[in-house]
Amino acid sequence: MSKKTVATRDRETPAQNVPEQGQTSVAVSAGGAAAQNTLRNIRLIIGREYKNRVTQRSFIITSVILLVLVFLAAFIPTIGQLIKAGPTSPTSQTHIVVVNDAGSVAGLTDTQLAATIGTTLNGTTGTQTAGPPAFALSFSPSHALADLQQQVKSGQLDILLVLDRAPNQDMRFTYYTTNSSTNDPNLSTVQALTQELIFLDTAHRLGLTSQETQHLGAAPDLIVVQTQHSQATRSQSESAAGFVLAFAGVILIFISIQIYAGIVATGVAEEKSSRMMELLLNAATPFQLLAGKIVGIGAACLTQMGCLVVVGIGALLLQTPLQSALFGTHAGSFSQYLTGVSIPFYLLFLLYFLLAFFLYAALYAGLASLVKRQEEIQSVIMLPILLLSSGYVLFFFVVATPDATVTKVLSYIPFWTPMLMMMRLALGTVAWWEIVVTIALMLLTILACTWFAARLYRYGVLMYGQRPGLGQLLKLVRMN
Amino acid sequence: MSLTVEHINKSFAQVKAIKDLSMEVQEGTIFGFLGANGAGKTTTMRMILDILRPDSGRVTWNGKDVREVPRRNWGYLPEERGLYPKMRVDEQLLFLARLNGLSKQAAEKELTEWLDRFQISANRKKKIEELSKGNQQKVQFLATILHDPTILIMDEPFSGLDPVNANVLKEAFLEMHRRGKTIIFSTHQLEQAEELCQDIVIINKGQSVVQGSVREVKRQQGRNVARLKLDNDPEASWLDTLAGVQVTRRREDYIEMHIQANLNPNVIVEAALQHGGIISRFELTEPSLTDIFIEQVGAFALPDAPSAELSA
Repeated sequence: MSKKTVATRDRETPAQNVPEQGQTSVAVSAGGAAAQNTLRNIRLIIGREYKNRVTQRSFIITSVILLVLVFLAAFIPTIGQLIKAGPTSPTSQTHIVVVNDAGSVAGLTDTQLAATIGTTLNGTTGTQTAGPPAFALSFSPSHALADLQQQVKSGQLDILLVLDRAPNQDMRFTYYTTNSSTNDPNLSTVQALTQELIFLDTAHRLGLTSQETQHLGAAPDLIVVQTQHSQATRSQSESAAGFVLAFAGVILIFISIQIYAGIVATGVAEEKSSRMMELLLNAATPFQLLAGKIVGIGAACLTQMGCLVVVGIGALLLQTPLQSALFGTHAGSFSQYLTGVSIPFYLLFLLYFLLAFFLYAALYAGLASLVKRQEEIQSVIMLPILLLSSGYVLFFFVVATPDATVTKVLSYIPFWTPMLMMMRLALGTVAWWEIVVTIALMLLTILACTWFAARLYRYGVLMYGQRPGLGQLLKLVRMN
Repeated sequence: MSLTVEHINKSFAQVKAIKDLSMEVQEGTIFGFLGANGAGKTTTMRMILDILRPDSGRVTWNGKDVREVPRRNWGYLPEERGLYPKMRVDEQLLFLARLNGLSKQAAEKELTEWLDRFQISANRKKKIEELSKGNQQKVQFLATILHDPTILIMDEPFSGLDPVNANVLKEAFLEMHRRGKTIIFSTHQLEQAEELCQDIVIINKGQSVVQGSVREVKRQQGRNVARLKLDNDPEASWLDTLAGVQVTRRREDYIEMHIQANLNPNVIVEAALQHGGIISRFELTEPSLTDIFIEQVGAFALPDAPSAELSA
């Protein structure tokens, strides 16, 4: 049969039953009668899909494993901090003993020197937070050096700093520490201290007055003007939170859409290979089956995700009291990320996530209905996987420039909207109408994709033969 | 009151699967749908159910296009069994019955009743994949009838069943018949069709070959079958030259032959006597459906090579 005849003849309504109507192989199911019960049927199918999914052993096991992982992941920052704090009792101070073999440093008296060192180590205010300063400072005469070295070795003393002078009278420092790690958190503080002391000492030896020295060491008068409106309205913690959330959100969308839409695709192929489809098509229309399946599985997956989010947030909130118990003053930097972002952001995230799920699930389901066996799913859903992955890759290209024109334009493309809008919401500026427009565009695309998928579905579910080519598919979709 | 199929055609790609097929199934009868593998039985059933649509022609129930007939009037038993393997028997059947329009309460009531009748109540809470094949088939049968449809379309309902289970199913089958359901079923087992059906159609390569009531079909053949046994001449080779007679098989116990309807069977007896034969058995009988089927279809319907010459 010629391709042309198919395209034209099949536009005729089936009711006319024109004898020479084209030879088509489109599978269609009862329209009128079954459609009356659309809502009832979709509800039944949703119920079955949901119950079937959440009672499946593999689903339950995966959920439990994920819950445990999420719960544990929330403790990572705290554990990291715990490790960073070292083996010493976390609330205790770091004891540092200074042995001064250098004589007078920068012309300061011993008391002045002790005050300068203490200020440099513990910050300008001395007690920047409640509680004792981080470093407990004491001086020792040089004859106790061997004894002190032994104390550092045995762990009784944290840090021993020895000051002396090189032959050219420049100051020299020797730093003894119990810390064996290469990233010694105290090292940078001590380095800053040594720089400060050398600066003061050299200035003194050059004959500068203390006022001149102060003048020389004054901080530069640098004013940072951020012209982007968004940055001005964002606090530092909000920006940090935005970055974390943009990455977490995009990765979450990418992975969970891949998995959840994949479950929908598997469900369709399962029904087809078990020939359940023939029974179902006698009772419901392809659209009802498709809609019920997507919403039912979607609801099951949302349940799983909801549990994960609740456990995750709960575990994160636990960190604040836990951290304050462990570190006293160093509390709650991570939970600030959470509260630093407003509720509308989370709601929008949920909305975009749902829209992305419906969009990709419809595509996955339609294409999966074309396969004979489940193993073939991967090859037919290549196209939506590519669309999804390209959005993921694009995110990394534009994440540095959330307000650039190219980012804006790309975020309007429905297949990428969820990921890129997430990022723009978290890091850039988004006008309210942009949200409305992108959601509207997505809804339209979802409608188009569902229509397309229902077409594929009604054709595909009964086609057990060879897979059609792309051209043939498009032709089929146009048929009535 | 009948299901009428009028001049339907259906092609898949280059292959004409159904060619100008017409048939009529009276309400309340059991209709046998016979044909070799690949003859188009399943395709026709799908078109009756409006799962597929014919390229031309129409299928009507009481004058109404089948598309307009509410879905719950139809019960379909697909050829390749389809149920959710991991779903429980009761949940599965309730889901399908409710999808077909039954209320929850009505579905529960029907389910309990039928599980009892099929003696599988003990399996009510089991998953489908845990059942034996016979029990799976019973559940599949229940999935077809639970919503009390008017028309039952059953594709090979008896295939793969042991005699005991086949009998249970046959009883259920006849029960549905007593309840006034219209039943269309396809089968390879022609004795079954002969036993159960009022009307039959034999199709071959998408075309109707023979149809009508079983008796009519037999009469349509325009001939009868004779069986002859000669004690002293088991081969009776002279039969091959006798006009109007066609020997179909020579068995140890008798020779079977088709004789033309207008031929007086006495001719055979006379010829036998002329050849000095001692007749120990001579009987006239109707051809079985198997004979008719093989004659109409068998010669060229080799199951494995059916489609090469089917191209339109």
